[in-house]
Amino acid sequence: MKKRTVILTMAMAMTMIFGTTAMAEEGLSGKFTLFHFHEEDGGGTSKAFWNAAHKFMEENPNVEIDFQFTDSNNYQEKLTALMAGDELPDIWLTKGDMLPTFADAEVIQAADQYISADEDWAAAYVDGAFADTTYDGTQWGVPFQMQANCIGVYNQAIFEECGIDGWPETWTELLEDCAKIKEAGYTPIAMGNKDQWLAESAVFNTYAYKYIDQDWFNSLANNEGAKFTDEAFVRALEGFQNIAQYFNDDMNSINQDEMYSLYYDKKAAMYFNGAWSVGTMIQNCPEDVLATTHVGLMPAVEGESGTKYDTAAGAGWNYVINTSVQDENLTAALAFLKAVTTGEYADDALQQGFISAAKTSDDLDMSSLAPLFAEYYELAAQMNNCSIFDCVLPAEVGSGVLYADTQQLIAGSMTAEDMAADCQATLEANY
Amino acid sequence: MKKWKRWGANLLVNVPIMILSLTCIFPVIWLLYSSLKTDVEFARSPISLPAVPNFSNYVDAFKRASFGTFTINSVFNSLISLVLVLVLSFTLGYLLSRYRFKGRNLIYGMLMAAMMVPIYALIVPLFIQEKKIGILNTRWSLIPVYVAMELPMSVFLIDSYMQGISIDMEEAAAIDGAGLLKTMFVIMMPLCKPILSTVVILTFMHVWNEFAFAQVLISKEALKTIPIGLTYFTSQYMTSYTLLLAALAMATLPVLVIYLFFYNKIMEGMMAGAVKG
Repeated sequence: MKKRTVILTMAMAMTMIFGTTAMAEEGLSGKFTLFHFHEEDGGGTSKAFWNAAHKFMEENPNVEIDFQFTDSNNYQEKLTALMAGDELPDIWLTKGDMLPTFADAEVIQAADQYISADEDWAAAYVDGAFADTTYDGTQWGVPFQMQANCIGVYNQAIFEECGIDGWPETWTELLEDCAKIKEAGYTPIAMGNKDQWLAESAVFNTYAYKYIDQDWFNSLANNEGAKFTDEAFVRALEGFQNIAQYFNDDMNSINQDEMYSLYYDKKAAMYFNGAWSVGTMIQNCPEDVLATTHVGLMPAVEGESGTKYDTAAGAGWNYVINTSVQDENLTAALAFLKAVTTGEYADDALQQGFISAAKTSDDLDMSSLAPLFAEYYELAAQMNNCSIFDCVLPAEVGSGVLYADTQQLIAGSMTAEDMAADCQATLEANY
Repeated sequence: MKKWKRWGANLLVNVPIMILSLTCIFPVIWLLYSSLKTDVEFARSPISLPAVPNFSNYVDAFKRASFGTFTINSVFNSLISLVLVLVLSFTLGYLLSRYRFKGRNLIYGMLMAAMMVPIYALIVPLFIQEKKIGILNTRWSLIPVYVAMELPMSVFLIDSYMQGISIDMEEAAAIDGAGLLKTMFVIMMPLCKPILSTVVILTFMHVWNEFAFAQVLISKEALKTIPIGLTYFTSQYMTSYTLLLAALAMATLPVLVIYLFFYNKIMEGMMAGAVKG
């Protein structure tokens, strides 16, 4: 009896060992093409992506991935050509504002059906990660980053020199501080809006949330009553036009990198920009300036409903899957997307200086993060994430008229009322 | 006194010209010395000189943008396009300038019309066309486009130049028994050297630097060209300017070499073509 049990146990053990080996050897197989903008030797998001992708390929030698790279500046143009030529790849990156086009044309399949089927995967993302991937109640894409579109970056040494003891808590304080800084001969707030997106997307968008809230924006985006011409929004535009007096004079003729130069050279005391600039500071900022650089939330405006925590933030870009990807190719593609957006990827992303859309592991050593990034990470945890205008509104409005008019607004060549009316007219034509 | 006057007049004319020339050459000088700076140096002040020349930018840029492969592709595309453009445009230009036949004006008109079409309007239609023919994303995706793009201007230049050459030479050749091909390629082609040099420089420069079509029609890494490689220094939120400048300096070199080879002829050709046309 005993002998029989031993033999049986051994047989079971053998089956288990060989069974698993056979399964592991089988692994995943399939092939797909991926159109992306993650430069292989680049920093930040790109580095974390490639670390995860290489690991996936090592573990799954039978999965064949054709990586098709185009740099982020030319990405959208090529995507448009691929779409027009009916040559869309199997997986590609897209921004929230293009989702409706793809979804309505039935060229992409919803991602939520697959993510919710895998419990681990579904539980891996932070709250609100799918806000920019959702259209018509369906989550179409897989997000990979979660960034604040606006954060204040300041040089504490210059602040102290001007008699300012810390980052302002209210907008009035900020205005007072700006006046002091200007008097001391510095540019209070550096602005590089040559490419039009910075002032609107990375600064004004968050400023507007000090006056309006997420519900108002949802109502505007879905044509449910809110209008650009509403009083609160016009007040936001007026307030923003007022702060522009503290920007550098050439705000509309220099770009983001030239704006950084003003800060590096200690000519400007602060700037507002997306959280990606934290990574740039860590990499490029001269050491003496970096040592005295800190980050802060955009102050709230007294008398208005918003708080300093209200910040435009989101995933922005996300991966979508072509409808034509099926069977084993689909299984392989889904496993790949899980690997390059969650798990170790999330931890690695933090080390590379950006926050992914997925939760990090509990045992991650936060002390290994760069001090400035750790500071931002703490602030990001307190933020109340609101929708990014240009990721949700139709492109004609979000990255069209809103960008262009904000440029004119800060230059003083357009009034707040005119801009509101112009934006509303364009939005109505594109509902 | 007279001497001083002349000297003063010379100064008056030359100094503004020299300043103007300096504004043309400065970007190239800036490119060269900036490519030797570190990222931090460049970020701090884009104009200042490097503290210590940093030649490793060139090595890094070469590796990062697969410069080896991309250079081979660019050379391949440029040379084949160049040969085809030279042969086709010379033949067309010669025939159009020397023969009056039915449909001549139509051909001429079509070539001229092609010069008016903005390149960007053609990208998507060409993409679809190439996909249907089956040459999309292959080694032969770009060459036909480049030849078609360069042909009208080249034909126009050669035709205008040829009209300035008397036909006596060709008549003499005919009397001596030379056929059409011999007259064209042995007698007339050497006479057209100045304008052909112009065509070489212009075609090479355009094809070597062409970006829009290379970007859209090619997806395979193994087939991409240098202008596409120059975008490899931009990630989602950051641009590595010093590497980009080092790569730009390397990419400019072949164009500079070709220019130095032919620059004596280019002015001659341009003037002749323009004045007589």
